[in-house]
Amino acid sequence: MVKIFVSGIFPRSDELIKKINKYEKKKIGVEELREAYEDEEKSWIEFQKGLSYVSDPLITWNDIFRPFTLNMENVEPGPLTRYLETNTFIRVPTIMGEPEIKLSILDMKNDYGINFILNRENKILLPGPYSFIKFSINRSGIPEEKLLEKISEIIFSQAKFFNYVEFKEPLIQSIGDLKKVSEIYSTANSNGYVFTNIETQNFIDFPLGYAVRTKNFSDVNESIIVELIDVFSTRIENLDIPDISITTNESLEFLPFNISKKKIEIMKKLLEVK
Amino acid sequence: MFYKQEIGSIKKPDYLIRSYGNNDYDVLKKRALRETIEMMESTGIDNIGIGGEMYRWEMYENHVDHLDGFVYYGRVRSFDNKYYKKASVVSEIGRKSSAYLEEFLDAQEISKKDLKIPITGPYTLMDWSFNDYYKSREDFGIALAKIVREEIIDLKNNWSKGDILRIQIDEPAASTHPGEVSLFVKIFNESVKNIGDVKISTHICYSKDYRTLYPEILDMKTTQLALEFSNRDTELLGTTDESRKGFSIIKDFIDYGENREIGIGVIDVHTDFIEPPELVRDRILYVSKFYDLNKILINPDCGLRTRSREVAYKKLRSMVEGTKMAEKALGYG
Repeated sequence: MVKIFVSGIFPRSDELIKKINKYEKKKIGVEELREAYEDEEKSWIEFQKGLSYVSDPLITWNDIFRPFTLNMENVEPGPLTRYLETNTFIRVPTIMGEPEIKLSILDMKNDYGINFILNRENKILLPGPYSFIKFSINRSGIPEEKLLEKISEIIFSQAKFFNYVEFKEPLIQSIGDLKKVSEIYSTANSNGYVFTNIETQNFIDFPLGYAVRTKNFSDVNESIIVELIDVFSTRIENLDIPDISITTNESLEFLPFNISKKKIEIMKKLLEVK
Repeated sequence: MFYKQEIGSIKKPDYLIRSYGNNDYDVLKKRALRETIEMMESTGIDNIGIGGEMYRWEMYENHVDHLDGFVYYGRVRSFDNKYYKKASVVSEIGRKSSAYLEEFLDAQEISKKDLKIPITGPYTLMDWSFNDYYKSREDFGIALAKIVREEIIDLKNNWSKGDILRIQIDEPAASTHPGEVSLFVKIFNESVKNIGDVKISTHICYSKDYRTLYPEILDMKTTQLALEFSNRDTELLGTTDESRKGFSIIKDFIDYGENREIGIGVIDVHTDFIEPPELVRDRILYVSKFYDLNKILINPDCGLRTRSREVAYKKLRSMVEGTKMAEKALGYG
């Protein structure tokens, strides 16, 4: 079965950007700002009808970590830092002591004191605990491993509010052995997947589905997500002729005869799914 | 003894911001240029750049607006609720007109001090755009490098002040893709190929780790690297490695073989904290312990446009006073 949905935080419209600017300059009140957020939220949700999942556009968030850096004890929004190899900057979490959480994400407020508009029926994005720690500045003196356990506990406690969760783990690529991360996610008890930004990685026995940029499917389990839509190009993808081509990464002569046949059978199945 | 230079932009006066798009904008931008040059000259710095970039709305858009082949589909987030217009290249690029000449001619007419014209570099223009046309980033970058080179030659042909023309190529994107530094150098060098007698400096800032640029950037055809350091430094006085955390990385540059001029950012442009002259002094004295004195230049980390004009003035004054104190401590006062 093919499922199609959008990943990550959505862009804000010019109108909403202007409203927020006006609020920051005290030219409009908080109620007018809240209405602007709600209108845009509704508009994005309406626009996604027809996709397999509706993703919460998260337009109230100023970056992926902000719900937590604003609403956790002993964690603050830190210095602006480039997000991966993009030209967008985030305020990385600065951990000053043992992280604690008092509010559920449904009750948290954003930079302007407005509740996040989160619908538990929608797919939600949450920072993956491993990348959360790797992005963070640790001034707590607490060992990284302990912090990872604590942050995992906090994030997974929020994931339970939603039917489908996307955990963003772009820094997973920096580790060779996924066993530790696999162990962490085995406690997640969530329906969802991990968005990894990696090209190939050994995900065998991983407890959740995962998104990869892949040139071969050697590590595919039953729930792979293929990133077909490129957000680093404004050229609109042509999905007509041919829409998606999947082939072997080299000649089949490098494989035994019987295995080659099995692989061709798998490819036929992929075509049936499409 | 130490050459004190500006890096780029100063906040525009309110009257200029309000007039954007109006009929009187061209008149007011020249007034703003004159006022900003006078303000900068009064701080005591040796080089005023191009007078705070009063003719440029934004360093990326300013250049792209003067090119064919680009379209804007909208804005993308820079941070928080700050967004920038990110253009898409959709056909072969070409120059519509010079992005810098008008400002350059007016600044020459007004300024009594040295000038150094900042130009947005080809790699940064490429990296900050969507590429919907060229087959590769290299093809796109080289095409932009040729455009930048034409700009430099135009400026050189219109330079009338007698001394050597100084051009600062701004490449804040240089360290964005650590696996692509060779491509950055190739594109950069294409933009300055055979330009003759022009002094080229390069400004890079807010890199996660400048060391990722080495050793490839040793091949860059530039005489000076002007970099940001104070943003990652402490506010403590002193010349120890501990107090000068932001600057100690320069020792690594030397280990890689770096021996070109280095413009050290002694002023943090992201805070209203006015660095005491003693802090500026100690930042300079620290670098003086291990870098060739004749190859150290003094500047803010980056353009000061995010600060008020009053704060920018005070920071530049402090930079000048701190430099004098360092010179005195080194026996040149």
